[in-house]
Amino acid sequence: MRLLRPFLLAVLVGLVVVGCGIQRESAMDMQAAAERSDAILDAVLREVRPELRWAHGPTTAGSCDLTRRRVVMTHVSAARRGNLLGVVDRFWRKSGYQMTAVNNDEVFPAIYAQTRDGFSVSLRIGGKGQAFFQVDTPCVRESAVAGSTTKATAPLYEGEFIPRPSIHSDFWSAETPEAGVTPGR
Amino acid sequence: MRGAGGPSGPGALGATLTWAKLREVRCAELEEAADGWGRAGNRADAARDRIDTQLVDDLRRTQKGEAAQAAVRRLRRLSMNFQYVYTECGLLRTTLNSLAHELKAQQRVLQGALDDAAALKFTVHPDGSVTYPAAGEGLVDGKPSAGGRASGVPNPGLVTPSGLVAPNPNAAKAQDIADRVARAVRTAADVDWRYAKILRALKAEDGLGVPTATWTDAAGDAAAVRQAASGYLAQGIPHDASPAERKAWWAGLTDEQREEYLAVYPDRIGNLDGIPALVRDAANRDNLQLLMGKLAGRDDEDAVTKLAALREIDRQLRTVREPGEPPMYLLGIGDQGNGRAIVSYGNPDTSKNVAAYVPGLNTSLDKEFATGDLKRARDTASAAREIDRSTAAITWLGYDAPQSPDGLSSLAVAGTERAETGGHAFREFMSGMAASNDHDDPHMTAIGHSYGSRTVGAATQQGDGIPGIDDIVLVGSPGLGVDRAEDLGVGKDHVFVGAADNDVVTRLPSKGQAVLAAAGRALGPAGSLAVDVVHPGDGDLWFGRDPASEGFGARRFAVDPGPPLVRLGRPSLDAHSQYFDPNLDAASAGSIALVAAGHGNRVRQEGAR
Repeated sequence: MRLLRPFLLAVLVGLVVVGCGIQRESAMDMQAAAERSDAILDAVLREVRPELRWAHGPTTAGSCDLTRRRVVMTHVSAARRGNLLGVVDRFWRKSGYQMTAVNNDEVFPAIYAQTRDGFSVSLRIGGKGQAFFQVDTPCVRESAVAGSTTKATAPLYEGEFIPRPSIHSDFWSAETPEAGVTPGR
Repeated sequence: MRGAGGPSGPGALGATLTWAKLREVRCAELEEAADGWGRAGNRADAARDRIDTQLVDDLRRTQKGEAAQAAVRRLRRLSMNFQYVYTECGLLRTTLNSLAHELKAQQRVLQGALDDAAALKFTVHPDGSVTYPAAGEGLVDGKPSAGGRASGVPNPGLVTPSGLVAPNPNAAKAQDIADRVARAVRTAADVDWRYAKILRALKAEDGLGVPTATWTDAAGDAAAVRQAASGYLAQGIPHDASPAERKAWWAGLTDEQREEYLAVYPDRIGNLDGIPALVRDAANRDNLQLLMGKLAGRDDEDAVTKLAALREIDRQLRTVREPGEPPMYLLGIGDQGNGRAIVSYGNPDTSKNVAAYVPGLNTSLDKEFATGDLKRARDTASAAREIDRSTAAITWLGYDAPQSPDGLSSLAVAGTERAETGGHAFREFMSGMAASNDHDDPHMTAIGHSYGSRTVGAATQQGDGIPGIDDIVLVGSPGLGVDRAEDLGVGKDHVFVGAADNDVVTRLPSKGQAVLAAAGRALGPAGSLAVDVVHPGDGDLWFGRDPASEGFGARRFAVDPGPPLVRLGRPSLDAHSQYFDPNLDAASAGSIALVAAGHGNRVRQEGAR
């Protein structure tokens, strides 16, 4: 709406409807973008205390971008879900990220943020209250990508489906709200 | 086959074939040989499977370094060898079966003639001529007409009988018998010659590599065998049946029949709606190799473009999945029109939730499609599986979307015909998905982007609408030809719309049609055009009412406004292309995934325009 005025605005529109759009010459390649993503994920998981146990989700690559994922294997109860979202939200704001969207849904809440250098980061709650962290890189120079060097804190799994949370935490799995603390959101 | 390729030239049966030889040909032996090739092919297929799904995976997971990578490369080559062996064995098998089928038909013709001769006590001589006894009454003396000998001609129509034939009634019968014998022998010789040629062409290059040229050759082999075997196999494929009937047809075939259909008609079985996803995937993976071979044999621009897409799809299919990554199923592939490709992330038969994304304007089978459009389904599947792991997401390029070389003005030319045609194909596809799904009532979602939303719109208005559909997502829509969400057949609370403020396609007013067309013409094929982006106020877009408008009555989910139309002095349509993008519009991508997972009621809503 901002752009569209109630008067005729003749705009020349180019050809490309589908596609990456304006290609910025990027100094960063996919490996560097992957390492930056790992650092973003390391930072947020370091911030969450008591610690959450997590496993690596799949890394997937597009034509010029990639996605890193981490899957939380600690059982986070519905009662403590708000704490987690609150901690992460505050940390991302403090880190200078721009909060781009929030879904306050009771069952599948999600928060989305963007770093200053164009990395999109999210925390989403999925089935069985499982928490998923994800970083999507901007379009960068294509390169081979190695696996993350950060060691997962939950056991490795094999196969098509990531197991649902199975690790108990006295804090995160508690079925009561944290005493004296208002839920994060 | 006896004598095929021997020194006596094409088909040893050919030059010297007699009816006695034809009678003695043991077709059962040909069929046994066919079975043997079938077994060999199955073993090759199983070996390929073992390499692809076990050995390579295990190596990748457990071993690092140069040696492991070299081993993986060698295994890949071995896998390609097995795939080629499987394909050629399948073709051999069907060629032999088809040969036996045709020879048996001629043996039956021959046997019928011999039986008739025996009943009449005629004698059939080794050269095929038939002698018959005296019978009837002479024209002059009333004595029985003398017996005689009739020689058969393979093409009886070519010989005009003289008016003065002997009145011996046996003569005509003998001539008929002799003709039938001659025809059977002649036809069998033709069959023999034809199949000898095909079998001789079914040979491979020397060496261990399976270069592209070999697949080009295999594509030619398959075409030749298909043509030859058309009477034997093709008529069985129920193209005119409903997807549910096709599913039943497939379920009723024997293993041997299925294997033959897969070997000879991977293109038809792979693209047949109603056939189980695993079968389609297996058929299309073979078909993909044959198609790449076929296109590699051409060097026109169309072939080069499609080949690049097919190679990228092939590369993705061969990539080892990481744990937690949805597996890939090739549900359709073809080079007709602008190209066809249907790819599912997650098994659509075992998944409770099945979502299919219909791409739009300017989408065709090119590399951009193979990377960008497929990624949209993959990202949707990955995110939806966080919520419900029993979810599959599909990119469906099953129609010719309008191409817009002249910029958006082509929309004016595109009209609604492609949407209508595409809508029919999409309904058929979704009907197939519903039929082959294991769940009693799978949750199914149609996602239309850009002109794809017009195609989805068309499908909802045909017949009883889109079979089995529960939710509809429309993003970047130029209108869908339907005025109210409640008319889409799923209830208005199940229609979800994403429309970015800066997405010009969602702002194309119907009034501007003339302006657009004129501007498009004026500016020529260079491709720019002037767009009248005044918001019409009445909610009317190019193809009818704006689905993001209040009057349409859908649920509008929050999306990023996207970059402005003019940025850094350059026009930009980027806002039209980021609805699925987890980097550029993660919230929109997340909302699409929520709907796909069957929880559309939990998307974060936004007010209507």
